Amino acid sequence: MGIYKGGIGREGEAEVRITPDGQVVVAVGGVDVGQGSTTILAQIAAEALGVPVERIDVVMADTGRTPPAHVTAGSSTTITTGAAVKLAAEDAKRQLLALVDGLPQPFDPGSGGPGKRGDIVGTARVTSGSREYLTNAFAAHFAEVEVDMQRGRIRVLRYVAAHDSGRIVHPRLAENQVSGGVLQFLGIALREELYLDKHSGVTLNANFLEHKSTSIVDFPPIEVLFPAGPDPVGPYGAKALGEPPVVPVLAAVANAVANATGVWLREVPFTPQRVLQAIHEQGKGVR
Amino acid sequence: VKPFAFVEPTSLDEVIRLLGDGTGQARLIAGGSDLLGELKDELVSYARLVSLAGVDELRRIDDDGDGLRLGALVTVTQLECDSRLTGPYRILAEAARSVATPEIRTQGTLGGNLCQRPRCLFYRNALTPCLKKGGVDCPALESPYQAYLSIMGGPGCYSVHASDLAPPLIALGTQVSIAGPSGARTLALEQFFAGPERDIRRENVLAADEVLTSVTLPAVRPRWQGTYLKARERTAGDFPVVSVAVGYALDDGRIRQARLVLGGVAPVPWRSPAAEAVLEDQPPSPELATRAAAAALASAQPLSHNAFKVEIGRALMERAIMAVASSLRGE
Repeated sequence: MGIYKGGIGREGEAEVRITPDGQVVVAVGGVDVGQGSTTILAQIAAEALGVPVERIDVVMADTGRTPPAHVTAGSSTTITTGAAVKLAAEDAKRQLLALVDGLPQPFDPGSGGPGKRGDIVGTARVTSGSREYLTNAFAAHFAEVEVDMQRGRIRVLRYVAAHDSGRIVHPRLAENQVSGGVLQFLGIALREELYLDKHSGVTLNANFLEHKSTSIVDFPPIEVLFPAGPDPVGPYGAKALGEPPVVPVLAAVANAVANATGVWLREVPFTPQRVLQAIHEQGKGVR
Repeated sequence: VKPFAFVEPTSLDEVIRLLGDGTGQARLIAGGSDLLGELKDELVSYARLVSLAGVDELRRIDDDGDGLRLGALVTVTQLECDSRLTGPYRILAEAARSVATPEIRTQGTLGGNLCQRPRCLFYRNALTPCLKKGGVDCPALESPYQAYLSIMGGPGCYSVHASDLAPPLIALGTQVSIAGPSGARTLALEQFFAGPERDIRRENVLAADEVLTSVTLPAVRPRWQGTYLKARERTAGDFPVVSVAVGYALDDGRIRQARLVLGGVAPVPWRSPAAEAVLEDQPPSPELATRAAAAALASAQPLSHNAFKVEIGRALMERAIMAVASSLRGE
């Protein structure tokens, strides 16, 4: 089981600009490092404005054009920046509707327009510690393992990751984020380790040949489930998802090994050397 | 990478002449998959690299009916795929398949695989001292990271030979052909490898102006079969922590021509006559396999942090011995 502290842990700002030609530009200071937040934030703005998502451009991390932002970290983009984008879009929509309210009815577009030129700009800011969005993300992971008691080798045969991250804004991206996090930590569970030479201070395996990030053939298919529905408080019911997938992995593998063998592993990575040592120390040797 | 001259002769004579400029500053390059790493990490430097790529005769595979001659430039992928590596020779194809990754197998050569340098972390890091690099100290012995170190002693240097092809080739009784300024010579592949007691900076008997030109697999009795098992830290793209090549034939249910060679456990590929003697003339059984495996590692002297390799080696040997029996019985 995993639990991940939720809510808004930092400042978040967004600007949503509606241009005279009907484009929408969302500007945020965070950055899409591959997690897909460009797509997610466009979805949130489109939902708030009631326009198709292809009308939305997202500008991120441009110091000339985007509002200040905290570091992009801590599983915060959807919940924090997403909340700010939603509020900014609602602000822009209110301004637009107010403008429309002031027009003569029925309005003739050929009559020269509303008398206002330029963009409509909605802005919003959410603040750190805001109680409005306080909610945790939860996960339950299941590992099935095979342990070679003579060779000390663990193989993970099957892995299921179930996550409550509230509403899943983009299921495909979310599944990839979960399986990516699980893969990363299965690598740490089974193999990955930096070797520090205590005499020289040199990292002995500071390259991808000697530091063996586990390859895809060593992993099982990872099944990802999102059994929970929208959360009452997050933006459109969404909660944190980036880091929660790594939280339960090491314990899930260790628990599965203990269930299969009666041997408890307490130090990662669970290399054959450590597994064999634990087998002998705990009196479970097969010889 | 320190600058070097790159020359690409088209004949063996020219290769030998270019190697033997008397300074010892020339080195052979074939696929380069190991050497380029050494050069880029500045573990070694040479004034001249002599490429073998232009010497076509080294690419040949010849079946003269009395054995199979494999040129030094035959790639690991070719060994994996060549249709002549069947029956008794299949163990070599099996081992080739376990080498590195498809990309490296396509680039890497048989000769290069046999002449590869050790994977000891302290040898491979330019910032750490190492006897093999001409240093006066070996920090590996005090290190907790000893998966790639010897369990069969040194002396002096405890790095291991990581070739996946050497154990099956030795099990097959392979001869190696070497060309040098004074002509050609042939010796058993087993004699080609040399531990630190001979020269701590080298892993074989090849002189600086000599070239490994080919290996010859002798004709083996058709009912002889072998298997190669390899324990590694990850399933693809990795060197052996321990590997084992085991082969034999069965006559009336009894083991004949038993061969057992371990990889990754000693500064040289480690053939075990003791284990072979346990197996010879006996019917294969799990109990016999256990005794043979114990005999192979009876003289093991693991370091402070690699005794686990003894256990893994025993498990691999037992399984390999029984796998050959199953295969010979057509199970």
